[in-house]
Amino acid sequence: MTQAHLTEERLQGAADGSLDAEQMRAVYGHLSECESCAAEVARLRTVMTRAREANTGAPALDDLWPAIRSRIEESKVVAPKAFAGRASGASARRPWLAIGSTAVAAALLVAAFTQMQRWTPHASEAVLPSQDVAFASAVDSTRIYEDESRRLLNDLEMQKAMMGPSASASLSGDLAIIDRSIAEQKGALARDPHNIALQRLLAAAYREKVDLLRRANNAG
Amino acid sequence: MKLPRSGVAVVRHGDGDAERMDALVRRAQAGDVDAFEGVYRAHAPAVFALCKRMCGDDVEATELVQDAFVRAWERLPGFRGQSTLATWLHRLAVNVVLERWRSKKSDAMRMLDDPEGIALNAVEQRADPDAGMDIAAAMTKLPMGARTVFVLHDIEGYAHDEIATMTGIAAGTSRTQLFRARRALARLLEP
Repeated sequence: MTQAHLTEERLQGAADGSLDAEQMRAVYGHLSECESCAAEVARLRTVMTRAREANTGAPALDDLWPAIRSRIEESKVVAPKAFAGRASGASARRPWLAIGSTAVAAALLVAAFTQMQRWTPHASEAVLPSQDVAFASAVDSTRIYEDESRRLLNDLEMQKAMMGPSASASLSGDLAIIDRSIAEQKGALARDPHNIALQRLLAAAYREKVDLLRRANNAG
Repeated sequence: MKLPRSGVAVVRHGDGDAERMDALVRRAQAGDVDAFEGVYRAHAPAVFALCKRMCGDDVEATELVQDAFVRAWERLPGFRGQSTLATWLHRLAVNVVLERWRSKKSDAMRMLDDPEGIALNAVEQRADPDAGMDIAAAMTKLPMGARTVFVLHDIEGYAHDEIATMTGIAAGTSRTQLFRARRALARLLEP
């Protein structure tokens, strides 16, 4: 055994995968040698897995629709036409200079990715059946952010002509950092396609890209 | 933009289905109730499952489903597709459940803020260690507050900060409640 038993926070974090990369590595090292803690983690995972898979036994939900329709029509609530909004008020207020924070975040993503590569076998061990749904969500997130970043990049083409040279160079530099991170994570995922930690990092990288592009579009 | 939640992953569509659903949403946003019926039929089972897990009762869950979809109709014009429709609907349903509890000043809201786990201790002490029960039954044994945190975090995929914002409890309390809820469930599930 490498140390005393894991704390409650570490046991629970190991069970739900919420530990950061460094903690995960230490915890999995311990679990490989401590049957007691490994059993506790497995016990907690069983609870989570069974809860997600539990059948709630839906009644005849089609029968509810007439009542819902009646309430909608009685209240005379008619939805006005949808409007397409591009930027939230909060992001619209962010100054152009805030883009620098994205570069920092992207650099951290690269660092996290580099750290993960050192213990890829451990990261793979962390992918358990109980995390299948979470993995699917991470894939879903990645796809959404990727689509959004593609759309924002198209929008940005029109803005670029109005940017000053320094702002344009700064934006290009930040985008290059994020794109490098994305490319590296995609490469790692190609080698280890079921690694949930890598999938989450990829989603996070795309989210940073979306945030950056939104700020750039709003600043323009 | 909100991340898709694990609990809403049950609603997945192929490209054709996704396009059909997008079209239904656009028509519903323009006031087409028939189109909204299509949205309801696609998403009602998952919304019911969420409500049932939170409140633990079939009858109340069906009432909550109705309230949630009436609310969804009212709010649909504000849906801009920045999250998946399923994610948006689940967040809205969670708010409907919490608002109902607040309006009733129910024990659930008081039990949400139970960092010492007093209610959970009572549950564990009442449990017959030889009984062993299925997870659905075990979840109904949890105090509503602890069950809410467990459902929101472990099934719906919300982070503690988000749960804190939605429920008004501290993020640390949410974490403590979650840990204790899992422990209580593990004990209730033991054969």
